[in-house]
Amino acid sequence: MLKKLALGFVAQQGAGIVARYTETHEKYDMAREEADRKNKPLLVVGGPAGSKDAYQEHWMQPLVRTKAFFQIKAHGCGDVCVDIDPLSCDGCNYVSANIMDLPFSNKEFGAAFCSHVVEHMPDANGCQLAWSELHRVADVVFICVPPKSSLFAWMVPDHHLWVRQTGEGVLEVEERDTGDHYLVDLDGPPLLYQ
Amino acid sequence: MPSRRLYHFTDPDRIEDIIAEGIVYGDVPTSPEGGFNAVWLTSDKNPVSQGWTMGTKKAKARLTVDIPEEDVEQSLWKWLDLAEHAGVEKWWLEILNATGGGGQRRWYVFLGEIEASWISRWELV
Repeated sequence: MLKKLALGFVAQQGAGIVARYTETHEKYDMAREEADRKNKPLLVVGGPAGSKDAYQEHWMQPLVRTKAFFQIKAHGCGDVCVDIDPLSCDGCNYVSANIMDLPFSNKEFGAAFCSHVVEHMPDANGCQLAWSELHRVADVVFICVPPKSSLFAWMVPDHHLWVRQTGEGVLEVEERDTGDHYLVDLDGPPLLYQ
Repeated sequence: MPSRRLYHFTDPDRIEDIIAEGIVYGDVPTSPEGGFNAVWLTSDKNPVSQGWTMGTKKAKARLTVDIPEEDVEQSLWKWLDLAEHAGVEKWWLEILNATGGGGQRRWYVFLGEIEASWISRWELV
């Protein structure tokens, strides 16, 4: 019985990884198409390469080093690739910037693709700032975030938030340390609900 | 009831009054000579980011303020939107923002009084 449960859990986690891989590529392609359709550049926030220097002295170090060694890229570079770590945008047209304060003008991009970034914001207010900043600089925003059902996502030390997109311009956000639930939209500070 | 969460930093000596009466005072200087009374709030809960205190103890206490949604619609403004609405001149806005330490995109102004019951938490930081 226990063996079956364990096997089921492993299968569920594996299926989740495949689903997220597919989702990432589908959303990147949609963002690319959207930007091309608008004849504007595509912004990628959160470099695809990962950094071999991330998570020093953490059990994740071998994983990120392996990813860097084999030059595995999670998605494309877009036309401009923003990250706080240049190694994450290796081989891309890199701009150093913080997602909460992007150095671009309003609607400069046809689309923004933001993968595995907003869950690292320190709190729901930080997430709101990042979310509104993405919408400020791009016509359309596509995000990818790890689900709460992912065991791996629980183990990443700087995943401060569980994020889920629930509608156009609306995120459902749970702060991991407080357990508070918010709706994050473009209208103002996060909406706290019980 | 849904509410929007923001933070207000203040001098610890003022906490007792605020807990009793709410947050009533705040100076919004829309020009060197003029301005009005309203309450400053921020979405940034980090005390280190509050450059406007200039080393004083004005940010040593942090209040968590949960503003009911209906009051948000009526009275809560993003500072930069309010400045534009109030016709704050660009040169003066730049001075205010620089004096405030550059976090202006996270500042809000509440045109009214923050009721004591909206303060869900206070702490020394």
